[in-house]
Amino acid sequence: MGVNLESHNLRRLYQRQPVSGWSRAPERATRDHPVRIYTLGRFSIQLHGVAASSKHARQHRPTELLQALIALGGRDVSVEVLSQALWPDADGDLAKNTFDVTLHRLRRLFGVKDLLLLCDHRLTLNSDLAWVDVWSFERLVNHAERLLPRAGDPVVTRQLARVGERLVTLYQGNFLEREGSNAWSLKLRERLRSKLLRHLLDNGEVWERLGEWDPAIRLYRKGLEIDPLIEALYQRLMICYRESGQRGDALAVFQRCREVLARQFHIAPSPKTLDLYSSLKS
Amino acid sequence: MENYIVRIYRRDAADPHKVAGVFESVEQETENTFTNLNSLVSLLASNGADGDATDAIDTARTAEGKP
Repeated sequence: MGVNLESHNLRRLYQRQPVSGWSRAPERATRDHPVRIYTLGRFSIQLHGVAASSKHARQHRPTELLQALIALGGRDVSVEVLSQALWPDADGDLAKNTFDVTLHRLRRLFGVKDLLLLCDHRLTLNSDLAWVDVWSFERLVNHAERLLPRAGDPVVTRQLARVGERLVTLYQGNFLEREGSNAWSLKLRERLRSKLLRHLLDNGEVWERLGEWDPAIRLYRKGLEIDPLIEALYQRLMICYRESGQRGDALAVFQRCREVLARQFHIAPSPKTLDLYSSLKS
Repeated sequence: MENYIVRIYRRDAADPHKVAGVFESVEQETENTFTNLNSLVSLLASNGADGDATDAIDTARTAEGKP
């Protein structure tokens, strides 16, 4: 096995990239990655710009190993952790053999040298060769969080708008949502979902402060597409419609909020929502 | 191991017992709502037992005082 070669490659990789966090500038040079992996909403792979053939889809175990590797961070993931996640009933030797065979099949499936690096019983998906939508998403959302405090600056505001559009485009749905529910995918799925919802609310407030109601409305509506039970999104939408003179739309949002809460929880809108409703009538 | 997702959408600051949210069972891929801690506990207990999801919903509704 090419352990020494892989160790060398991994060291080379780390020399270029610090271990803590992904250091690439947001969205830099994504086109030159031979492998592109989409996991948000759907699972698909592109090899050299071409959608992977159906043979990839039929390879259940290798595909699942790749998905679990991404779900568990993508780099330096312990073989033991991966095996425990994917084959919890397999004992030590069986788990090791299953992992070795599955990794071999996964590498053969891609045929891209150094794509999957194994070093000291830890597996890494080489970010020099693979672009993964969730990595891009997390870099962008972290970038947006850094921009938010400086949103009063017009240049920063434009950057924030571009980042927000890109985030919404990237987030085609929850992480691996069509692949069924696996315990190992939940943590990342929930973290990404939560980060996007937080970003939509924070970014929307920036546009509200600037009196730019339409972009704020788009963000809040996107939030409600992801989770129609978040009352704060209805409240923000009502404010945006009220302030932009669209009173009928604000009332419609209130009605929808009331219906959703009644249907799901048998509860009335909160006092804050009712106050907003009162402000629409006055 | 059993895995669940609990989302809290409403908390009553004056009464911590009053919480509204959604309880999802990952393995069974079922989703139920709760409006207080008793109904959340009932959902958890029922999902952990061998009873089916209908029992869980009935138990939760009873705990909430709903028909």
